[in-house]
Amino acid sequence: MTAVLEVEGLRKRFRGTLFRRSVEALKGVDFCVRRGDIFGLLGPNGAGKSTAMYCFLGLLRPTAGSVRLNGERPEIGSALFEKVAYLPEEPHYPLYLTVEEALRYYASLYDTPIPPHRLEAALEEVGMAKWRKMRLTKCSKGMKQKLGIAASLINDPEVLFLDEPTRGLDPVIVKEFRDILLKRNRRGTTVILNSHVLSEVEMICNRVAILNKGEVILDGELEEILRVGSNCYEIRCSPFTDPPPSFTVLQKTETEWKGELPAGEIEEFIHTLTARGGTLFECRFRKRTLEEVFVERVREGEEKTEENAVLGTSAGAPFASGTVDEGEEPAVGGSNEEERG
Amino acid sequence: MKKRFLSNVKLQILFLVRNRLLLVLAFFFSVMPLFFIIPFFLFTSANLDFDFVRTLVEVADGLIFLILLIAAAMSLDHHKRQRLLKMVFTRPCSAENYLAANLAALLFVGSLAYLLLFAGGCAFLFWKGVPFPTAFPVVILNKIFSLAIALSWVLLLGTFIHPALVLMAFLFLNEQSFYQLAVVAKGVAQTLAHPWGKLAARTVSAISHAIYVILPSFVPLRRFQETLERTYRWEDGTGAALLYIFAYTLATVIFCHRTASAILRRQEHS
Repeated sequence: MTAVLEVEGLRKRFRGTLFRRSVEALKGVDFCVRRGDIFGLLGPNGAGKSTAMYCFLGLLRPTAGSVRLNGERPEIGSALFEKVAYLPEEPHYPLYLTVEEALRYYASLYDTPIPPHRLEAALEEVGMAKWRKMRLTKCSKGMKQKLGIAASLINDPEVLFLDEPTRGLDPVIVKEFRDILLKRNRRGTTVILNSHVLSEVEMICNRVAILNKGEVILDGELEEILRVGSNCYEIRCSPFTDPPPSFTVLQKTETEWKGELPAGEIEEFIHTLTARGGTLFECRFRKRTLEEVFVERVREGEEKTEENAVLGTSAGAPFASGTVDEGEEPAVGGSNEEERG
Repeated sequence: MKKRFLSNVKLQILFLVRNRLLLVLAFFFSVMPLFFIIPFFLFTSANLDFDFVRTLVEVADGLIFLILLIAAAMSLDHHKRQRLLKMVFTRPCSAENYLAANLAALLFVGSLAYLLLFAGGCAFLFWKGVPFPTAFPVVILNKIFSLAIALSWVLLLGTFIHPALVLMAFLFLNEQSFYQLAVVAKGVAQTLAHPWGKLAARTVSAISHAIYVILPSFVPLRRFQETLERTYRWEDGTGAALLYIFAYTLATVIFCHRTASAILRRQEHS
């Protein structure tokens, strides 16, 4: 698959002033987003996610390293943006315009003519059609965000950068927006998403990178990331006599038991179950949630930094590489969707 | 390209007409010239009627100039401070296009105001039966050229300094101030006896003179323009002078626009 965004050794230092220290927001970020990905860039507050996104778009100039967007170095206002769209964390509009005027204005900045019915459809899609004549000064934050979504989808982009896109949106619109993104992605749009809402990322992204203190501490396929580190199976079976002690029953009904089993015990468990006349309904490798992975990795990173500080080593030393290779097997064998019985 | 440019022009015009502060200023400034009209109505003579038009043009020119310079400084600052450029530059719209449209919109509004002034002046002279001053259109054209230079200079300054400072720089740090400083410093150097004092005064004079040469002049042919605005008469050399002023205006506008675009492109928009 071709790379849409290639980031190599990206560093960004904000120069200090007389009263302010310089800040190194990005300390050598490397990753690659392939065509067709929905890529989630995660990280705690101040991790450098927005700074990274600004660098990807050419809004900030990297101190070192390189960014290639569709094979080119991003330059503001260049023709590269004909098929790239960006929705900022807080969309800033000319507030003296109405909703419709703003959408028309942004649509007119593209070379490709955008017919009026598409503008109409875009407003309808985000539920802003009835507010078209409203001045943006009077619009709520959510309404502005909806307009931002419409404006970012209007040119049918090949690459879509979203910085906290669901901030301020109601749950119905969040769901609709998610569906729009998935639909666009199926049609070939690559999505690069900054978000704090991990459940949202888990629902739509196929690849993620976690950024902490300006460094990528984890990068890989979401499926792999969630599988690695988990070491047990979720079992659903019929009740049977004398279950092995390693099988922890979490839920019991007359006809069904639900429980967890360490990964190493699975073969022996199935053997015992069959011998005692039980039936295995479902056996699933237990995935961790993205939240668990995220918290664990961020804490790990913080501990490392503290250790480095205690040992007097460089505070800027990178954490242990957290990259999950595509071919890497989980700690135990088997697929997360594996079903037996 | 043309579509983008026209959209940006429209955006800037909407900014100007929907900005309440600017509207209040415009209203206030359009009422002000009325005070100058009243004394002229007390007396009637062909000379006074012509003087009336001349005074009206002078007063209105100052006000149009001032309000559009404020608008230019405010417009760029507003769009930069509100981080609107981030939304524009992540679309295929270059800094050159954006700034050119900004200048064009301001110049369009300014030209419209000058044309109204011209039409009003002509109507008044016709009504009073005063012979039409042959260089009246040249005077108006000159004013538009001066406005174009001033606006492009303010837009250039506005890309990297605060609008209040832009206006201060425009009013106090213009080429005339540096010219006067150079003349005064030269005079001081001649009167001072102390060698170090003389050297310092000469250095100040040289630097001021250099800045005077570098800074754009809003009135490129001052003597010609002063005479023209006194007589409103087409004389020999008026055409050539007008051509020179046009060339100077074009060169200055292109220089300021290119420099401002380069600065805006190099700036970070986060």
